[in-house]
Amino acid sequence: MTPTPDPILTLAPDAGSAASARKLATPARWPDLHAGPTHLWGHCQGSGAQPYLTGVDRSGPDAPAFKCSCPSRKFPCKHALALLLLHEAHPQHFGTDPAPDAIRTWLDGRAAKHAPPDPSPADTDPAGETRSGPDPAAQARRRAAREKKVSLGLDALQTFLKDLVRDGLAQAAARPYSDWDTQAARLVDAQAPGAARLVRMIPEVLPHPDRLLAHLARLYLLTEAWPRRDTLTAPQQADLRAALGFPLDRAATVAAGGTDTRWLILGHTVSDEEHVRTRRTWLHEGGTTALLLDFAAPGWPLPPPLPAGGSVRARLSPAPGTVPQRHVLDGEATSSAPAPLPTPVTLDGLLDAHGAALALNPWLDRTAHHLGPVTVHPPTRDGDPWRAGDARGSLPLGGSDTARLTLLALGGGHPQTFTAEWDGQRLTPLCAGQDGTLHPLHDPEDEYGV
Amino acid sequence: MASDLPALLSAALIGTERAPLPTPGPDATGQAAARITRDDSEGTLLARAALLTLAATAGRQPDPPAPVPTPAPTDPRPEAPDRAARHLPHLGGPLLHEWLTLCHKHGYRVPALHLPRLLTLATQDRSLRVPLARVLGERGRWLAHHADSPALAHADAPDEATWAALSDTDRDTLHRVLRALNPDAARHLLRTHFDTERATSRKRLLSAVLETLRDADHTLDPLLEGALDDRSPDVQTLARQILQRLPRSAMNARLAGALHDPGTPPSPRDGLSGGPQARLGHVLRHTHTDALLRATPGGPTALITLARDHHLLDDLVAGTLTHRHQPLAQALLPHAPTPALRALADPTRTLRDGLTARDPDLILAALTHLPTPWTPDDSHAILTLLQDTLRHVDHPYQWPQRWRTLHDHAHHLHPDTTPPPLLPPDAPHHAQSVWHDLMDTLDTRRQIQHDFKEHP
Repeated sequence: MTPTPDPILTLAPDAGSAASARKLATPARWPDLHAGPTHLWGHCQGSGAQPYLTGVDRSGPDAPAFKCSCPSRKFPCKHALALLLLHEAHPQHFGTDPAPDAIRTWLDGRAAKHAPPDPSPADTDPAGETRSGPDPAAQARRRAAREKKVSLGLDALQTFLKDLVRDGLAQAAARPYSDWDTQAARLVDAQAPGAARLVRMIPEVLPHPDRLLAHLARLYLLTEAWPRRDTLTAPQQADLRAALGFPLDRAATVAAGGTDTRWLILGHTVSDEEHVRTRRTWLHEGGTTALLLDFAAPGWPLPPPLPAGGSVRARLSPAPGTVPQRHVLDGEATSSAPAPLPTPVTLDGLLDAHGAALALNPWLDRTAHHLGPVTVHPPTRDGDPWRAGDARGSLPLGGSDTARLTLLALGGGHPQTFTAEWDGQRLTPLCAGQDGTLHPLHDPEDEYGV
Repeated sequence: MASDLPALLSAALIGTERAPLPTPGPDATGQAAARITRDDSEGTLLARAALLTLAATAGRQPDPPAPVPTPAPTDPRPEAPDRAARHLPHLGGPLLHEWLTLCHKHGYRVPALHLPRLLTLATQDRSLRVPLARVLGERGRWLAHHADSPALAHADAPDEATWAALSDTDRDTLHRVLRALNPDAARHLLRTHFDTERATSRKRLLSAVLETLRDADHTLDPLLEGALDDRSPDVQTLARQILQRLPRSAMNARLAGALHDPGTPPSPRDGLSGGPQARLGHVLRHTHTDALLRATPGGPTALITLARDHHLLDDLVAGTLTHRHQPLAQALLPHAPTPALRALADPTRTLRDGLTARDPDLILAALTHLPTPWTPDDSHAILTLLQDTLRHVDHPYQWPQRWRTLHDHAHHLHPDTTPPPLLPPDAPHHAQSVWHDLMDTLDTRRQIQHDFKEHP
C-alpha cells in the first residue's frame, strides 16, 4: 500500500508527533535518503551529535513497520513518519544505497518472521488436515451454551420492548438513562453485543417518535427471528448472527475464498461508540461494494487506513450473509494503478439499491454509493438540513461541515458526483468526484483523537 | 411512510393498554400486516411495525426537490497550480500568509478544494482575512456566503439589508477587506454607515482606516472632522490621529498655523490644550511633518532651531519618527543620535553598523525601515549573527530577548538566502532545534516560491 501524505499522518501516535513529522519532512534535514523495493532508510540530523538512523519496512501483513535509533518512546516516532512523508513528496531525493547493517538485520528478521512456516510432519496427517485443531465436541458445547445465553437475553429484551409499548412510547423519554444501560448490560452478559448496541442507541432516537418505533421494531424482529433461526437459510442466519454481534470467523471467511483484484476505495467513516472506535472503509470493484471494518479500543489508534479515493490491489473475502457487503482483507493491500470510478447512480437508483439490500437483510445499517449528478443545496433557513438533490428530489446531507463545504466548493452550485454512505436517514459524503478521480472529504485530524 | 404507519405510531405512543390496535388498511402492506398476529397486542404491534417501517425505508422516495442554489459566478483567475497548492494543507501562520501573498502576486486564486479549510482558519485568525480575501476569487466569495463567513463574501459595498445583518466584528472585517480590495467602495461604505453605527463599531471602522491609511483617504477629511465632535472620546482620538497622519488635512493646516502664532487659542478638539509651551509641544509632536515644514520657510534647520529654543526637541523627534520623515530625521541626527532616528535617517547603514557592533536594538530599528523580504545579503548576515548568538544556548531564556525578537522576524529573511554552515554537532539540543526549524522554514519558503515561479 502506498499511503498519500495525509493518511501517513494518521499513523502518528498523537497530533504533536504528526506536526513534528511535517516539520522534519524536508530533505534538508536528511543527509542520507535511500529506498529499496520494500523499504526506506535514511539518516536524520536530530538534536544529538550523531544523526538518527531510521528505517521503514513496507512489506509484511503489519506494514508499515518502523525502526529508529532516536530515544523517543513514541511509536512510530516523528523521524519514521517524516521518512514516509518525504518519500511521498520527494521520491527523487532517494538514492538506492544498500541499508546499513542495523536496518538490514531488522529487515531480515521481519522477513523471516513473516515467511510461511514449513508444515511440520508431526502436526499434519496424510490427508493434509491439521491434527491439533479444536475439539469439535467442546466447540459444540460452547456454542450451545452461548445460544442458550442469547435466548435468555433476547427473551428478556422482548419482554422489555413489550412493556415499553404497553405503557406507551410517549412515556419512554421519562425513563431514567439507567433503564437503557441496564438492558444493554444484560444483553452484553447474554453475549449479544449487537443487540446491546442497538439498545444503547435508543436515547438518540427518543425525540423522534417515528424513528423510535422503527428502531424498537427492528430490535423486536431480532427477538422473533432468533427462536426461529433454524427455519432460516444459512445466509439469513449469518445476517441474524451478525446483527446480534456474533464475532465473524475470519479464518473461515478467508478460507471460503475471495477476489484478488484492483479495488477503488470509495472512502471511510469513523464513528465512536461507548467502548470502541469503528472505521468503515468502502471499496468498489465491478458490481461489488465491499465494506471493511476496523476497530480500536479507547486510547488506541486504528490500523493505518487505506487511501480514500485511491486504488489498491487486495484479496477480499465476503463474510457470509444475504448481501455480500462486509468483507475481510486477506493479506495486505498493495498500491495499484487507478481503478475506474463506478457509474454514478441517481437518488432513485441509490434508494432502489438500498431498498433491495434491506429486503434481503432487514438489519443492514447502511450502504455506500457513487452518487450523481446531484447538486449540493446549503440550507436556506436556520435548522434546515443540507441536501443533495437531482431532478427527482433530494435527500438530507450529513457529514462534517468541512466535508459538505468542500463538496459545495468543488461543485460551485452545479451538478457533481461524490461517494456517500446512506443510512436510511441521511447521506454521509466520503469523497468528491473531480476529473475522473476521487478526493477524500474527511479530515485526517479526526483520526488522531483516539 | 406506509399508510398504516401513522395509526400504528399513534397507538404505540399512547400504549396498547389504552389504545386499541388500528385496523390494517386495504393496501398491500396493510394486508400483509393484517396477516401478522401474536399472542398479545404489544407483540402484534411491534411485529407489524417491523414490517411497515422496513417497507417504508425500503420503498422510500426522495424528498421534494430543495431550492436550487444560485451557482457560483465564473472566475476570471485560474486556480493556483497543484504544485504550489500541495503545500497548503501543511501551512499556517506567516508561511500561509506568504503563500496567499504569492498566490495573489502571480494572479491565481485558491483552489476550490482548499477553500473550506482556509475560510475556517480565517474565522480563527483575523490577520488571515485580508490576504485570503484577495485570492478567494468568485468561487471563494460565493462559498463564504454559505460558510457563515459573510464578511468575506463581498468585493463591493453591500446593500443596506446585508450590512444591517452583520455583527460588529463582521462589519469591521468587511470594511478591512474592502479597503484592501476596493478602497473606493470602503470609503463609500464609511460615508454611508459611519454616523448610524454604534460607538464600538465606529471605533473599529476608524481603527481600520488608521492602520491602513493611504493618500486617497484625504477624501474622508469632512467625515473625520465631524468625528472630532463624536460622543465617544475614543472615536474623537482616532479621528484626530488619522487627521494628523494625513499631510494635507485641514487639522494639520490649523496645527501648523499655530506653530508660529503663540496667540493661537486652545482648541481641545484639535488636541491643543494647556499653556503656550504645552500647545507648541503638541504641535511639534503630532502635526504631520510635511505640514510643519510647509509652514516653516527656513526648512528643517529653522524647525529644529525653533524646537531647540523651546526645549521641545524630543517632541519634534517623536513626531518625525511617527510620520517617518527621513529628511527631517537626517537633519535631526546631529542633535539626537538615537538608534531609532539613525535607523530612519539611513536604514541600510544603520543595519550594517548594527551587524558589525552585534547590537540587536540597532538592527531591529533599521529593519523596521527596510523593505521585506530583506535582501539575500542582509538575510545571510542576519542569519549568521543569529546562529552565532544561538551557538551555546541550551534553554529558551538563555537566548537574550532582543535576539529572540529578531528570530521572530525571521519570516522576512529572503528565501534565496545562502544559509551559513550547520551548527557544530556539539551545540546544545535547544540551539539545534531552533536552527533546524529555521532552516526547515526557509527551505519550505524556497520551495513555495519556486513552485509559483514555475507557473508564471
